[in-house]
Amino acid sequence: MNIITVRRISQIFFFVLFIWFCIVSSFGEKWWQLRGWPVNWILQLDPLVALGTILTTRTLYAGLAWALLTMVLTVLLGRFFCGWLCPFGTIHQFFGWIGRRRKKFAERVAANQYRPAQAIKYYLLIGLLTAAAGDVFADFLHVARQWPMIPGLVFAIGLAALSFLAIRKVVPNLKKAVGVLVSLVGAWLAVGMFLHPEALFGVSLQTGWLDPIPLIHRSVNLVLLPIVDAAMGIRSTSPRFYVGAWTIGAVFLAAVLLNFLVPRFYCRFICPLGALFAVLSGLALWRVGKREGKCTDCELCENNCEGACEPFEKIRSSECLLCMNCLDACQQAQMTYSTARSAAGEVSGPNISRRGFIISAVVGVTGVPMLRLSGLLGANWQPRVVRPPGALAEEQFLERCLKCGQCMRVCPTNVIQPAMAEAGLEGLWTPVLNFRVGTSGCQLNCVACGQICPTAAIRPLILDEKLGRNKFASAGPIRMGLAFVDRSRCLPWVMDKPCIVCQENCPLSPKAIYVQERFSTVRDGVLTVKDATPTSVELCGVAWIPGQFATGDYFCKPASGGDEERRQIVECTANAVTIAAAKPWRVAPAPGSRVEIQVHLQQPKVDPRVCTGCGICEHECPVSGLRAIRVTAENETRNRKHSLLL
Amino acid sequence: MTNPQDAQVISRRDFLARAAKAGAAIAATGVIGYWLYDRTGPKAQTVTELVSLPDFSLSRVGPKMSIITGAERVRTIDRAFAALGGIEQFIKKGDRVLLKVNAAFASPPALCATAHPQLVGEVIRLCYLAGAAAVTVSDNPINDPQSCFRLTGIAEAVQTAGARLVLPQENYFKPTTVRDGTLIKNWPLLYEPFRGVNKLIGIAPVKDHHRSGASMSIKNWYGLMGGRRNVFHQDIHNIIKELAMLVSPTLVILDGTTTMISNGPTGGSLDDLKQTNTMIVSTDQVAADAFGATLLGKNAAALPFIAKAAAAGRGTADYESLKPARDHVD
Amino acid sequence: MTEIYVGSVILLVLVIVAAGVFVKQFHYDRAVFLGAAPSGSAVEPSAPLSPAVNTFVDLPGELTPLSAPEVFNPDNLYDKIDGKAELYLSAGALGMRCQRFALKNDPKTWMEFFVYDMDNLRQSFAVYSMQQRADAQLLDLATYAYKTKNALFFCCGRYYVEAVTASPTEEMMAAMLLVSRQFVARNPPQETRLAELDLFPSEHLAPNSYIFQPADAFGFDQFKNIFSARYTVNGAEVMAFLTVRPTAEEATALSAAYQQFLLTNGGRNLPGAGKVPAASLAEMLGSVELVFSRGKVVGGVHAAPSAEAAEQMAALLYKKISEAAP
Repeated sequence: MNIITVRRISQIFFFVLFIWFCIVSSFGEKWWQLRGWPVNWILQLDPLVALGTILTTRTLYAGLAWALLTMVLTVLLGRFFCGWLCPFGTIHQFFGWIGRRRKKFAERVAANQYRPAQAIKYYLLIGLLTAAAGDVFADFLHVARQWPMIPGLVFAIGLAALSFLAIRKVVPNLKKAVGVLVSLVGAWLAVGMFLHPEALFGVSLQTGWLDPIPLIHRSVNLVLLPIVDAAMGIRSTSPRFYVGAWTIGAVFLAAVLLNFLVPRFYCRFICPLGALFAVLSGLALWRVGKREGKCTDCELCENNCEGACEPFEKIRSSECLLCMNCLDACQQAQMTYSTARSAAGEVSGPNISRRGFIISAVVGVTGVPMLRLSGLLGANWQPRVVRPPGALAEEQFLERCLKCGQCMRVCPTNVIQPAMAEAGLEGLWTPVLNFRVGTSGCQLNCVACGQICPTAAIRPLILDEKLGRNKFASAGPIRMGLAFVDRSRCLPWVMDKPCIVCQENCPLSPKAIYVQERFSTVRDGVLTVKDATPTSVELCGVAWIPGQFATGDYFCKPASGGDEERRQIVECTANAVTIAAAKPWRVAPAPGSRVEIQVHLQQPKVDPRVCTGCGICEHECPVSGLRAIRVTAENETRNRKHSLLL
Repeated sequence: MTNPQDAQVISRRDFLARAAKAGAAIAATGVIGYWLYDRTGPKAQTVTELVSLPDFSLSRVGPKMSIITGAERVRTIDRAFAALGGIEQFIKKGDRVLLKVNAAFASPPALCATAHPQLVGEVIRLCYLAGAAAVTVSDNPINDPQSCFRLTGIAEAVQTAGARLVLPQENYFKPTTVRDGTLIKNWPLLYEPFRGVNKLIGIAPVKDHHRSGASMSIKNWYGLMGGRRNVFHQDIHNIIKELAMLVSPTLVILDGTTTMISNGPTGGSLDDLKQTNTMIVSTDQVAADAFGATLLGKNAAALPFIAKAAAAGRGTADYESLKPARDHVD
Repeated sequence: MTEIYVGSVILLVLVIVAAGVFVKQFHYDRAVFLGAAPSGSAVEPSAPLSPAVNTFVDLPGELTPLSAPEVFNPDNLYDKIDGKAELYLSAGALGMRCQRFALKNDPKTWMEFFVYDMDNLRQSFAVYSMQQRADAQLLDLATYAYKTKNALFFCCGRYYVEAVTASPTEEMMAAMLLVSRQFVARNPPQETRLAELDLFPSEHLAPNSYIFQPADAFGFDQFKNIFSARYTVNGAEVMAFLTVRPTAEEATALSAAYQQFLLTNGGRNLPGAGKVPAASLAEMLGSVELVFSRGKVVGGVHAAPSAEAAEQMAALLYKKISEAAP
């Protein structure tokens, strides 16, 4: 059995498994629905997800512990994840293979040469991790504030170590080294003592932008599957829509098409997860290399090298994806995967410069406070950002959300949408509720999004907690926001049109929407009586559409009479109305007297103590453009500061 | 060329070194993973630790009150303390005192919407005279803090008298909950100025207030609240009651030299002001406010928060029961 | 050789992963899925439920449950019938149960059976009478029962029952009648007749025209619990009404108050021919109102075209009331 064949089987297996997980991520219990499928498994295997959330939250949320397995295997075997498992990598390998099929041998070898730009992925990794590590830095500085002797101790130990190393001639320039130590410890003390470390840093998990596993989930969930769904009409009863999906699709398409420029472009230059594996693989016990330093120089090994790690010369182990193509290609069986280092030597460790490291760390560390200057987490919070039920407070939410799109895929009503500009740059593609797009609002009895969320950015609610019942009764239901009636657009408020669609559709009990009854005289509705019977009245100078006022919402009353004389119109001809026989005129209107045609209006109001912001009212509102009742995030449970009530 | 045997030895040594490192890395991964493992995920609300204010009142002194008439604040306050046996009764050597002034608005001292700088300066001086180790002045004003303290003249008075002015910052607030309260729950409190402090004095002018009827000593604690505190205006009398439950001061100073009798709490016109020439010092904030109401031409019974605070056991509305020391200085 | 060995181990791992995933999908918390709505599709289940689903009515053989029974209380009655809940709630509804049933041999033909618990016959009759349909056809199912083209409505003691179908085939209508009969048999009403209705004379009565208004009848706020019925007397269409008061004095006072109400609202006193003792007549813009009291009963005629017609009807009513309570 050829190792290449086994690798291909493994890649196809995991790719199919991944696609299957995406397909079954729809809410339900059928075998092709969510039920117990471990749809987050590949995300959970991703150590960048685990490491990112550990840095931001200092916890390792349940299933993310799977990433430990990946890390351990990487430390033993090298970057097996990239070459054997990663579904995004499989796509790149496939398109890279298509791209080079017609190319000549020399061109292929040239395409697979190592490029210094492959270091970019390490800088991206450093930037993303430092952006996530604000709390760690803050704690570090806090130490200087709380226990100033600790930096002193560190300084003393450092000095002793440096002196020792200087004596052993490991450190050539003791003066310079001490200078560096003094300035580092001094900066630590100064910054810690005089600034407020907690205020200095922000914490933001942005690895999901480029981490290939969230990226491929997002692309498949929000772009590829909806297109296939719409075309095949099998998976969903109605087509799925995702706001701004084209931006996600464009990133995906660009990443795929770049394979025609350089095979595995994304893996080699961009992938921060690959960079993390590269660092871990430095310790790998087993590694690809040459048995002997000398060979026939045929360069066949670089013909199909996926990692551009130059196995022909000194192999760059950290770039090697374990594709094993070199083992297969070598006619002399020179290439081997063993515990020994390559006989031709290795270039170990990522090729990054100190300057590049510092620049990317500085960008990462300063980037978050810079983004936070917009005040989106404080006074300038965006009421349009209505998060799914159980979402953490925005600051904690941004510490966890991967933008993987699992919640958007599983949402049975398609109301969870990727945010575009509304949640700021940090919040791009994070889940927000858009009540115009979906097939309804957030369903009362559904907790799918929190159950699927791999990082608990949306907490795994149970129904009792969402609805605030049983042992959660004292906490009340989870509120996502609050519905506001726009009285400048609402039909019964401004246009004298009877409508209580929002009230009728409110799923809560008691309903959050209640109505204020009002009778309003219709336009040109004060009329002169021509003739009247006990149950009807004929009017002068009108030419109505027959039946116009016979909907049950219209009433007729003598202009001089009080409210108790109002009668419901049951029939309406071009110039006469009939009222219900059960309640005839007490005094039939005299010819020549005036009567009014009135419409019975029920004007909706919202009770903020009851409304949970599920948005069904907004979805159903017949004012289909800018809805006359809209949910914004005021009153949301996740942030008490947005509360409207005491 | 290296000896193949040597190479083998080197290779083996290298492998063992790598194996050791890999083993250590795996062990570390496992330990860290086990240590940080979180099976249930985050809780409903990430509860930050609640703070509560200590009781600053002096039980050994007991309820005391002095009411001094006169037009000169410096003289009336001096006499007010003298009538109670001197400020030394309250401030001891080495005390660290916080003066919670009313600096709510960026308006000049002449409009009497805020604590008068002369009064603040004199109280600081008296505190130091009594041996206070440190005096801090603070408030969380409604308008921009910087300009509030500057335009009210308080900043300058504080500086001249050598006290420390603490302007509120976002991270100075910590959530607090009033025991048995219904409104102040997990609400941000201006806590930083209280660190290390063992005496608290409130300094407030007597003012009319559109919502509550009057803004005096107890309402002055509103300036310790952070967040969107204006939601509490929906239930103004109960929030004032809860403020009385939240804060137990060493004493309060209620300045009725010039009372804002209409259009409070901002005023804006001198027509809103009336010379009432009275200075009150009291260890009982409810009694102080009950008396202050009379300066506004109101009965304490017309201000529900006074009865509510009294019912909550925070003082008495019957200020005469304190047998206030009365005097007049020209 | 090693290659084959390693390859086999890896393939074995893949098989184990696949098996693990397969096994995992059986293990999940079903509570998460309960109650969540299907994605935007129609709510109707596509197939009838198994007969094991319990029902709250005895089902004839030709019907089978299509949904589980639903129970509503005054707080959430809106959820089922929206704005119409007001009608039931103001009449004192205590709750409602309903369920959908389909024909066994034709599951696409289904009906829904609603049972409103109105606490007593008077209240169930109120909602019954206020909703009477124009094309009603009386049924012998219960004292107050009728059917329309696609539905049955009846009072069964404290219960007001509706059986409604969208596909009124002969078979379905027959099945609905059968299930209704079984319901009546299973819940024999304690009271079957409202005594007041027996006080209406039966001659000239327009069939099925009884109406019960719990409050505010004829715009008069003191007129509570008014029963009325339509008559055609000598070609004139009139409405007779009556209500029973606790005492004769109250009845006399109410009758006087109504006359006063008519007069203050533009009515004109009309001399009667004296066919009915102590009757007051008033003319209101061309139609005639009449009111009298007889013992505890207040009776009258509403919107008669002439004084004669009014008195003629009143005499009939008076006679019937006198017979019932001499």
